[in-house]
Amino acid sequence: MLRDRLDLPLAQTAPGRVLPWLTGGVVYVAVVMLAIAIMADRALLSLEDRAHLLTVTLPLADDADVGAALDILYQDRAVLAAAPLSDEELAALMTPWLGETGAGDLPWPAMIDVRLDPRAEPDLAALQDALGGVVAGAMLAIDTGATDRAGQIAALVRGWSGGLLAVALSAGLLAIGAITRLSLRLCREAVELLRHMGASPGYQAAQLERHALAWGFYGAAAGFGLALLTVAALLYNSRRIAIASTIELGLRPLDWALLAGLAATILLLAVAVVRATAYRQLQQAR
Amino acid sequence: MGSAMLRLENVDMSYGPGREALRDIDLALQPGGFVFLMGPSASGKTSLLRLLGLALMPSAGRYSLFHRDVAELAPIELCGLRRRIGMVFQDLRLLDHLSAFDNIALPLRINGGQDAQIGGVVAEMMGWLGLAELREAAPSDLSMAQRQLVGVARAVIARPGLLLCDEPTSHVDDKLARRVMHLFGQLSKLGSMIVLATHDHDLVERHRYPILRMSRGRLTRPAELAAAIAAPLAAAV
Repeated sequence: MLRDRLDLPLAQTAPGRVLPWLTGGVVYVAVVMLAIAIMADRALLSLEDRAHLLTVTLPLADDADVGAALDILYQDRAVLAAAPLSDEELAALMTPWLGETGAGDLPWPAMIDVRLDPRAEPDLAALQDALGGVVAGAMLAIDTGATDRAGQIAALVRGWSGGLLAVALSAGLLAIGAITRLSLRLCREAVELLRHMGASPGYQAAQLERHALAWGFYGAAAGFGLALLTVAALLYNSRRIAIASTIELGLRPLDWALLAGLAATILLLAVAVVRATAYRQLQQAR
Repeated sequence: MGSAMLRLENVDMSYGPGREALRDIDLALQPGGFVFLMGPSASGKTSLLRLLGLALMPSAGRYSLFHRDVAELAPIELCGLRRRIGMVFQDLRLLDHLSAFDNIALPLRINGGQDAQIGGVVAEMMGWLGLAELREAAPSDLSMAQRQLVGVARAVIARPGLLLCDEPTSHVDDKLARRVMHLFGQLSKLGSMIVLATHDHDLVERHRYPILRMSRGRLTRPAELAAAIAAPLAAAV
């Protein structure tokens, strides 16, 4: 009974009631921004990885042609792996354009997925010539333009979301500091009374700290819950946009844990800001 | 006078330039000393109580309390000294968001008391003052007399070394006033120094404690009172 009430009437002041909303807002923005930054970062990695993949197309090729092309590819030190696509994989690729029935009526080219060593600098023109020498019409395909544009977008999104996270966090913590000072002003009579009774700045700062922790917890929990819903909606909708068909936009379990960790860290930071601000303010009175 | 636990020497105090509230105050109290402080309104009684309670600092002169010169104390030491002072405010200053029980428990909490221990002490005090039924009542739900009793209980609950009272019986009836004065008397017997500011001549006449009179920020009869003030409880009923 004694500990569930604070000596200072913080919960009765408007700034005291704003604190959970503010904490929740900062948590919401920060968690969503971090999730977007992580997704953008993951997309960038995926695109960088994709830049080291290329496809060899062999029109009207038989198994011997494919074997000869594989020999040429493996002679290049930049090639880590080369794997011909199976008939099922080819059918899956063609079906969107030709339909289920039409796909089976046409002679298909043979295709080989090639993974290049990211540290090597392959001479793609020479490789193209060598492949053309063994299989007429052989083509190397790497869609660098599309991946470059997607990479730029992903880098931009990552930069902006990271920046917004930093701005929201800084602004939120500054606002929490200002609210703490305002709360102390509005509770001036109680603060003075406690001071006359011998309450140290540490004792009174602890009161504000307890208030911030208790009320901020609810705000942070609500902000985090709402942020998770927003991130889930973003992930769901990202599957519908074109870029998602070529890159991975999901979050891994560790990423979700990181988001929860960020919410907890913001709550603790808010509490620390409240305590430090209050202590500094109270120390000024002798 | 050598063993005085409270001593003011040539103390001035002002609220700012041209706003002098106390001038040339000399005062000494020994453990168990009990004095009335009388004087017209705005004579400086409340300012003196606030100075004694370390809410204000002297602008000149020397104030030592519990053998410590207050001007030389670090802020944290001042907090420690304030915890040894109880104060009954004229305007009561109860915290409306706390119950009567929690208001009374405040000094014990600030002193770092344990909940179980505090609960027993506060309940006993509330029972003695007839407030047992009002444990969870908010100050706004109490009568003025009950509020004043809560203010008195809060001031004495931690058995302060110095008790400062500003009109502590102004809202209670005669019977309760006697009870409050008995409480202060018991505290004085236990060694607390008590300074009680009042306009109530009947109260002063009933109890033969020394009287300090204030006028325009000065104690008007300090020399005459010096011996009486120095003697702990010698003149008390």
